[in-house]
Amino acid sequence: MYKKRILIIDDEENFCKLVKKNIEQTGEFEVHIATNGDDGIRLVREIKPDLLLLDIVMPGMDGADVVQLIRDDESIKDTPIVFLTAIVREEEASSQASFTRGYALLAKTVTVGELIACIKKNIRGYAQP
Amino acid sequence: MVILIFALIGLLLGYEIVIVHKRKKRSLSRKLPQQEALPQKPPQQDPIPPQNPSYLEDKLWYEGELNFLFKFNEKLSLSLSFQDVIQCITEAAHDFLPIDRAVLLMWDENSEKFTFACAVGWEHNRSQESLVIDKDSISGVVVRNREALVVSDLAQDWYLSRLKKEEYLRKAFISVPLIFKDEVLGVLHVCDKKSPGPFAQRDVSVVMNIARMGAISLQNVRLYEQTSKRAAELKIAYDELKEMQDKLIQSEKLKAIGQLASGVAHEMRNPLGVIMQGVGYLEQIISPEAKEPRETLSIIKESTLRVDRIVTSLLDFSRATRLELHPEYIGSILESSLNLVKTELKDIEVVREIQEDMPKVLVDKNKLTQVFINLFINAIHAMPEAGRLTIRSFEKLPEETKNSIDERPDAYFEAGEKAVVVEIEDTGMGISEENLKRIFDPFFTTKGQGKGTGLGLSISRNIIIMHKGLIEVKSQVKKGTRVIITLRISKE
Repeated sequence: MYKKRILIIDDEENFCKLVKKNIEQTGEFEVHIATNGDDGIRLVREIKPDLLLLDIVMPGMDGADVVQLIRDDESIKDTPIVFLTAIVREEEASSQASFTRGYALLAKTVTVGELIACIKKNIRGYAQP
Repeated sequence: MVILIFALIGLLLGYEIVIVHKRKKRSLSRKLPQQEALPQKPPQQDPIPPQNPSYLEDKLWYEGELNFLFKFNEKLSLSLSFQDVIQCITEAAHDFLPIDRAVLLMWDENSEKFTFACAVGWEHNRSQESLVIDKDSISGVVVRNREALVVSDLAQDWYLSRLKKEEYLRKAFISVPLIFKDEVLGVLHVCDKKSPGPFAQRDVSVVMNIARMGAISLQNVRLYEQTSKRAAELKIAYDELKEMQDKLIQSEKLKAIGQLASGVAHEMRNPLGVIMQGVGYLEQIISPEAKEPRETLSIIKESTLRVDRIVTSLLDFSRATRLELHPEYIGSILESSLNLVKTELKDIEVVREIQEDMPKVLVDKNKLTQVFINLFINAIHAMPEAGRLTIRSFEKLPEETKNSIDERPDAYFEAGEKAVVVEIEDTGMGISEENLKRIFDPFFTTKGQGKGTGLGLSISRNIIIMHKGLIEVKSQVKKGTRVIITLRISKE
């Protein structure tokens, strides 16, 4: 069965490992990990994921830089993105980080159930039951 | 012939003596400085009668005058206000001389008008502002000539009696200018001797001394008042600057705290996220029958979420919030906030008493929603079994114009300014008087452990203060609690 591909770009490696375990537990998704922006953008171009889970604050190339590069590249500009954030409320996020406007935001302290629900809602071409 | 020549010489010599004597006389009078000269005889006025007191009488009189002037000077030096000085001058002139009344007028060079300053022995029915005398008066003559005027009978003076009338100048009077360094400050009139006969020369001398000393004192007091006013203005400016500086420092501190809090929040949320994902994973792989491990995981999850809420509250509390103000109907914000907590309501009855056609309020809708949600949750938690939650909103004229929380001048409601009041009332357990004093303190909570961060009311209070509104809590144990919020009406 073809599994939808998800890429996580987050500098917290342990978080990435556990999120990968929890998502792959469903049997529906294949998860790739990048722990910095440079590796992340390279993987986006290589595997062309159906969904990108993107941390905003990272050392070096951060979430805003990655988004800009994706938008500038015709081959990957339509990649669906969900931002992983420590920001409190959505309205604050949109006023503080305009590059997140139009995309979903996910707090890092979400439960597994909320994470899976968000993924299914935003992933490219997911057939809703 | 010889006799004729001697006679001629004698005549010539005599003439020369007369000329020299006249020259000497003229030069003597010129040597006397202006201020020490006796009052000039004004045109068409009565001459000062010749004095013929005994030596002892003179001595006693001058001793009395000296004593009086010393005391007058002492009193003047103790007078620190303009009003005190003019009172002192007028009273001195009235008390020392045997006269009916003394009147002091102040002169304004720019408008060329006098204003009434003080009178003793004269009842005037007009207010000070309306009694204005111009330069075409006897007082005007005194100012123009800058010399004393001594009159025994005004009716007999053809010129003065035709000038503009001044009520207090009836028959006999002495009018003296108050001059300081060539500037005329005013005119002092002493009027109507009690004893028969004209004013004596020494009377004029006393009045002139009073005027001279009074003028110096007036000028000094004027300078003193100007300096005091300036000092007061400087103090106000200094206090304002200090307040602004304190606010700036506070603002910088809050900004630094906000930045620190954001950094801490971010750093804390990363490991919290790891814990949540770890717990989630274990929940999936542990058998449903393994009750104890599952219960342990549940505790870990709950505690993690609690830490997350504390981090959120800390961020809210420390953040220098910028409000996005828009005119809104308070009723709709209340409804939408209530909607967000409806799953918590359970057996609680909700009563709405919202006035129709209320004006809009200028608020940040999201922040106010946060406040109302917090207050609704507090009310719900206070009624664990059941109860009634009443939500009221109405227009009102605030009874007090003072802000009960903050002393900022711009926090006051203006007199007659209407406001919108929101009341959220419950029939819950209530708050004791002791706890009520601490209700807005950060981290103070009456709920059990894990039920609240203790920051909800502090944050709500901060938000209301930022809206320049008022928040107050009234409560009775076992009866319930009422939170009253007063907000400004939008002018749009």
